[in-house]
Amino acid sequence: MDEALNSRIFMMSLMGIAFLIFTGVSFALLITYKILKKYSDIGDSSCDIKEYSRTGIHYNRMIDDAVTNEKYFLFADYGVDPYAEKKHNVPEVLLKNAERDKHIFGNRGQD
Amino acid sequence: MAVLCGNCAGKLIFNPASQKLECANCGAGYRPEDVSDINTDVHSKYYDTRVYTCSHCGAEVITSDSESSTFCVYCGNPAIVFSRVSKEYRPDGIIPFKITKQQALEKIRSRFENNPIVPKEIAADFKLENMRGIYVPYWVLNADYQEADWITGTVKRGKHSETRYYSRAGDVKFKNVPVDGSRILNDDVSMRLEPFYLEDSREFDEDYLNGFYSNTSDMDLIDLRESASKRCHKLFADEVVKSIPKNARNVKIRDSIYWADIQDDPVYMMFPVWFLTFKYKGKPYTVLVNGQTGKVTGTLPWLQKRVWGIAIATFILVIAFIVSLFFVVKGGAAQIVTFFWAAGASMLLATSTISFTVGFNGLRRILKNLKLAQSEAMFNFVKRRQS
Repeated sequence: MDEALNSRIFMMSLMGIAFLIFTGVSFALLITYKILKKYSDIGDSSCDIKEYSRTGIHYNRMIDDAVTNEKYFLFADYGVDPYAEKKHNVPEVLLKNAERDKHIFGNRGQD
Repeated sequence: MAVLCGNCAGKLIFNPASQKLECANCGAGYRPEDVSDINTDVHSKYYDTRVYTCSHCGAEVITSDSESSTFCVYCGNPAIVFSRVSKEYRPDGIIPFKITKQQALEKIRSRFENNPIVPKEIAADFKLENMRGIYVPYWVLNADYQEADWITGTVKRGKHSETRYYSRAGDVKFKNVPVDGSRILNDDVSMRLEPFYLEDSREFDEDYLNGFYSNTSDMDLIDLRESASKRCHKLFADEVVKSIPKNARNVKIRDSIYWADIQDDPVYMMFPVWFLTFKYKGKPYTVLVNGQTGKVTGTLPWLQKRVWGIAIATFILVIAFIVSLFFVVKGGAAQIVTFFWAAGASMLLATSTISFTVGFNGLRRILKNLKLAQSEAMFNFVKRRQS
């Protein structure tokens, strides 16, 4: 009986110590991150979609409670490049660079 | 090439403060639009440049006047040699420098000087000689964009949490998205320099380049599509996460597919950026300042001992606080002890888990940014893209 109690106390102590260490490490990580962010790492890429699009996203599909196999249907529906066949006028600089790349790397499938 | 003063034939340099070309000898000022007709053929597809090559990192730096380059603006190495005179494609437009070299340096100093964790000897490198103004090539484009995302989030249901799945698909018409047109500058770095405001853009005139360096676009259509897709994906993903119901926590995009269709008329532009390069413990670092808005971006090295000290002190303080709280509560009434274990411990565990996630991911991001700030990493990135 005593042995069972002792091992229970031992397990509880271990869990307590693990909990203490986890809490200590978590807060130490958070504080270190906040300090480095403030003093060493300056500048965020925080541009909003509204800066580059007047209308924003036009949603074709918006399911909030999807089941896992719907992922297959989602990617089956959108898995083909809808613009693949479209032809464009390519600026001369890009064409020239592609020609140079062709010499160096071979043909990479330029239009 | 070099534009000369009409009064004394002195060299003209573009001054961002006055937005004029100023003579170094007699101080006469000229609007770039006025002198261009005399010196250059604006109808030509090309303009003349002098190309310098860094023998250390392989970067090419271009000047349009007779100023010689003394060190590589990308890696800070002095082993930079004049390579050739070259004709480059004339960009469609340019945003001239608005922030002077002095102002850019002051902005860097104000962010990093008297900083408790940045080594003091670095401040000595914050000087005008280490700064270079470079016009970085950008493509400004319109794109039809389509993306589908598979997203997960955690929702509380009673005492338990469960994972929910969300599917989103949509399209956007993007307008005037800037995409960095140079392989040497990492896309993540150039993204942090944004925004650039196109209201200040002018028709390209090589006289704006006087006194500055420039780089030309070395991308082809495949590179541009890849960079544009990445840029649009970042904008789309940030927005799509906002569409997930507010009761979901820990929202993550698990899988995405996306396609960008760049319209026919991407515009080739030059955007102004100040580069400050220096070395610390043998490693090169670069801090950038947006030459139009003055936004500073970069990650500096830190005093490892001090940062470790802060982390360990926080660790000890948190543990001491919890242990002392435990003994205080233990001495109280039985109900308070029960309450502490039931509510206090679970709250602390939840807070710790969130702190761990935020802290761990944040530190990973900062270490990634630090690698990007070390320009040799930029160089490796270029090599990876080339291979």
